[in-house]
Amino acid sequence: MTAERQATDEDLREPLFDGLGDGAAMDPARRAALLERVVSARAAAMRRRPRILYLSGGVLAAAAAAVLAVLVLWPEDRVSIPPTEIFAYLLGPLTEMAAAGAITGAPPQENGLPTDAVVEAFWSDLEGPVAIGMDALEAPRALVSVEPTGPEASANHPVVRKEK
Amino acid sequence: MAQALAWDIVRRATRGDASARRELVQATLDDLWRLAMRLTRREDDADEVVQETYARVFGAIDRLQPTGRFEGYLARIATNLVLERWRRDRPTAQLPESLTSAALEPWQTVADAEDDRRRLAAVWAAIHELEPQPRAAVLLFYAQNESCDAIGRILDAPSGTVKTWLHRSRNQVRERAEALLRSEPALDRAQTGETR
Repeated sequence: MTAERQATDEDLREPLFDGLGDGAAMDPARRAALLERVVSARAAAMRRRPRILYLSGGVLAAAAAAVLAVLVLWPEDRVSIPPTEIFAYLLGPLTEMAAAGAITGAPPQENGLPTDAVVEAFWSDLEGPVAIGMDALEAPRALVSVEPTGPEASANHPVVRKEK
Repeated sequence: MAQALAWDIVRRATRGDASARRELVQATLDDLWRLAMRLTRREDDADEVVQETYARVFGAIDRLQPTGRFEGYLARIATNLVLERWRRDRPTAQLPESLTSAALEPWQTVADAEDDRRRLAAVWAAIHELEPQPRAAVLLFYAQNESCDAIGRILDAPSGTVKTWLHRSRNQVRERAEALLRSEPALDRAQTGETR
């Protein structure tokens, strides 16, 4: 042990150990009071324990009852319906009507399927609007394809105009 | 002998013997309070640490394994409780009343006594600037006279780590205490817990 370490040890030991003196000894009155507090705290904890257990049991029982109620009262699973049945439900009347000639007004073809008549009936209604829409889409292209005129044209510099 | 006696009491206490529980507290209270007092230096704090230690021991007494010293088990719980307090509470380095109210020795003058008080205050303030675990190691080593191995068991650290803590803390405390003694305002600030 170095002299410095020894000196430091003494510097620390004196205030921390010797300096405490009788401060580390409990006086009898304090000891008795502390003993009673510790023991009575233990007794109180023992008395509280069953109540805590009862409360815990009550909470558990309520939770179990709630789970059971949910399980009992929960509605039965719905029968799953395959998509084909849904389409059949929606398109069934149409196909029957087409088969009877009620949609197109024409008698069903001999080897035609009822769905063909349905498609034809819908397409006949859509054909006009679709054609108009296609024309409308094409129209701006016609408008912007302007031939260059003036000096640009003579200089063989085509004018490119952007679509808006 | 004391060890066998302590575990015998613990065994009886686990069987619900109320008198054994009281006997257990009777047999271990003084040492436990002394340890708490060495670490906290305040009687009220020591009382609280002791009460909480027994509360924790009694809460887990059915699961205790009779290995090692029961007193060591108590010391470990109490020290950890003190460490929790140090980490939670703002540290105060005010000199404990037990140190400030020491009676004047026959060979001392008032000036000598004041010098001693200032030196104690500087050391105490410097120790309170240590981190919790090294601080506990210093107090257990110097105030409680525990060995490095015993401190390691209490703080759940290898003996080598304890030695490192002590070595560094010793230098740190010495330098800091000397600096505080050179400056009265710094010592006052340190004692009121103000940062440097």
